This record gives sequence, C-alpha cells and structure tokens, in this order.
Amino acid sequence: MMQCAIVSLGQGNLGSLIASLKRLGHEVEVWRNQGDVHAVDWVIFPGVGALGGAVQALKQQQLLGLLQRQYQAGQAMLGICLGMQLWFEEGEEGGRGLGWMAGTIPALDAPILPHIGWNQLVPTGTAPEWIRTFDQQDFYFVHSYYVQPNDADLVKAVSDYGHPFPSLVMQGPLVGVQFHPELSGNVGEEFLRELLHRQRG
Amino acid sequence: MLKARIIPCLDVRQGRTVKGVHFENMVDSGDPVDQALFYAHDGADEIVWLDITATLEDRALHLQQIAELRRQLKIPLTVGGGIRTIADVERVLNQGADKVSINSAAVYNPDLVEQVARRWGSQCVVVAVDAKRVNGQFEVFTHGGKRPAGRTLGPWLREAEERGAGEFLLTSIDSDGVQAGYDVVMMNFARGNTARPIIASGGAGSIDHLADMLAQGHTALLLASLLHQGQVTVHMLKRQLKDRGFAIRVDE
Repeated sequence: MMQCAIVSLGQGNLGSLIASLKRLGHEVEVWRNQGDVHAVDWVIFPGVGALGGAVQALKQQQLLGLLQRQYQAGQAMLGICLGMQLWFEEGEEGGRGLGWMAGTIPALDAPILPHIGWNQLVPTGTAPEWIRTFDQQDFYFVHSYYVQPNDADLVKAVSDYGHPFPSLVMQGPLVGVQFHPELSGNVGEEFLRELLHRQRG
Repeated sequence: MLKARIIPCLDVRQGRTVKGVHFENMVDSGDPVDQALFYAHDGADEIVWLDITATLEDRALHLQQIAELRRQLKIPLTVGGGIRTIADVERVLNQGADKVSINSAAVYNPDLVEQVARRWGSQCVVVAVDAKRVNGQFEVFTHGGKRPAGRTLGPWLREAEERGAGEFLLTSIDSDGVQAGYDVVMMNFARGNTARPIIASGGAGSIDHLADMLAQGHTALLLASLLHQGQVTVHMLKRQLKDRGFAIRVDE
C-alpha cells in the first residue's frame, strides 16, 4: 500500500483518479493548502483544468513553495496531462509553468481538437524495461497541448495524433504522462500499479 | 493512431435504463450501474449516462448511482440530463463524472457552457445537440426533441465551440431508435461546421451502420437500442470492425 497525495489545482474533478488509486489499495489524500503537505510515497499532479489557473491555484493555496522543496529533495511525483505540462516552462496556452523540466508546451497540429480517445503508446530506446511491456497498448487521451522537453532522452514513449508527440517523460523523481491511466481501463490500471511500485525514488 | 470510440449510452429514468423510439415509448431495459460495468468490461471506450427525467425526486438516487458506478468504472464517464446550473454540474462531477453533457441549458443559457469550460476546462464540456430536418434545414430541438430551439445546426455548433464546448454529442431525431443507420448526411454536415470531436448518435441497428460511419471518417459512435436488446455485444461489434480493417481498440 502506498500513500498518495493528489495536489489540488483549484477546480479539478478528481473522482476518477481517487477511485482508481483506491481500487489499487492505496491510501489517498488531497492537498488543498500548506498544512496538508508532508512526506508521502507519491505526490500526484492531476490532469484537469488550465495551465494559468493551475499555477495561480498553487500560489493561492500556498502549496507552491512546499512542493518546490519536496521536488528538490527528490520526492517521487506523477504528473497526469495538465499536471505534467505544469512542470514545463512556457505554454502556447499562455502562462508560465513551474520550470522543473526544460522545454515547451506547444499545441497539437491536427484538424480535430482536442485529441480525445484511445491511442497507442510506443516506448523509446531509453524507456525502462517495464514500460516496454506496454508497447502498442491503447491509453485514453484528452488534450490539445503536449510537452516538448529540450532533452530528447527524457522522452520514454511517444504517441501519434497528427504527428508524433511525447506521451511519457521521466526526469529523476518526476514521471509525466500525457494520457490518463485512471481512465484507461485494465491497461491503465496495470500501468498505474507497475509505475507506483517500480518507479518510486 | 487514434482508435474510433464505441460509446454505449444509458438513458436512465427513475434509476432504470430505458430506451424509446424517436424519443418516445420508453421501455425498461435494466439496472444502469450493472449495464455500464458490463459494457465497460466488454470493451466500451466510454460510457454516456443520460438522466432523462431528472426530477428533484430522482436526483438523489441518480447521484448515488453515479458514485457507485465511479467506484468500479475504469473508463471515462459522461453524465447528462437536466443539467441547468453550475451547481448541477458540480454535483455530478463531485460524484465522479469526468464530463457533463449539456443540452437544453446550453441553448437557452449559453453562458453556462463558458462558465463550465472556464472552471473545469473544455475537456469537461460535452454539448449535446438534438436535430432534425425541417423545410430542408437541420433544426436544433430541445427538451427531449419536443421544442424547436429556433436555431439551425451549423451556426449553433460554431457558437457552442466558440463558447468552450470540448466535444459534441449529436443526435439525429429522424434516425433515433429506428435502427436504420446513422444519419450520415447530418453527421457529415456537422463535421464541416466544427473542429471539435463529434459523437454521432441515433440509428445504429447493425454492424454495417457502424462500418459506414467509420468509412466516412467519423471516429466516435454512440450506441443504445442495439446493445440493450442484447442481440450483439460491444466486444462482438468491435472485434468485427477491427477485422474489417478499422482502427478499433480490442481488449484481448
């Protein structure tokens, strides 16, 4: 059993994420202000809302400074969709991210947006072995922006919508996914189970 | 590559799934929580849950069922029916819905679409549109297909997109429940009027009907009567569509 803390990014609907972590037998708490923050197995940045609003919410809830410190101390963190985009520097959508990962947040180039639905994961050459077991598996996506790290080696899997884009990035204690494992059926559940157990620390 | 979405729809009244023809003559067809979980287990890509009466008395039961479903459901859940205010949206999302489907209220109070999009993000807002042919035009209807909205389809799709709709659920009233095929003409027309994903609804009666739509490039199909009658399963449909060469997710 892991202790998982979901960082409130303001108005996000967290029901699916909480339900999926509980199904896996983990303990879940939601951090809404600085008093909630403490050492846990995983800190999770959820994937709902908008970039500017999320950074604003972290400041208002006085979570930002404490999360910065946890990140620097090597706390394991999972970012989902917007929760991952938040770690980057600057987005087309406007507003600055946290700058923990060097890179940008460009818009997808495709005739129909958002990219909504199930799409394949293709692990890269630098992906850890356990991620390669998810080669060609379908995960659920819903987004109009993606992340482009400056260091291509951080990209552990790509997916394709209009063009290939990074769908899984790792940097030290940070694991970011563009898809929603909590909405990706049995495969997503298996992914979360593996990730939370293997990748910690 | 993006897989086409096969999306079972549950029309729920007083805690039971029902389905009618042309939005009328409702027939009871089961417990919606069990059905949704069964469809998900069988390979559904998402679930749409529409509370078709949404009276005050039904609301508590409805919310309780949504919460129960969320605890077990591992795929996206859209909930609609009777969503009129921000408070309605909040209640449904708090029970674990991933998206809300807004129909009549979007037409009569388009600000609601903007408010929901601003607060929870566009990905959360599905604008449901019911339309049928009137004097050679696609007219939008509300209140379960009974009341003309005074708008035609193209301009309404464009306005709703502008206001923050993340996705459309478009039902052809002409085709709904008849199981004679999707309204390909209406769906193609809609496709040309918005850059948002469109979930096509109304008319699925056979696997050929689904294949016709996929062949035209549509990527999200709603299913109701065809599934509730139990003649075919989600898995059978998806397996056969995949065998015909379409991009379909099939859980082995």
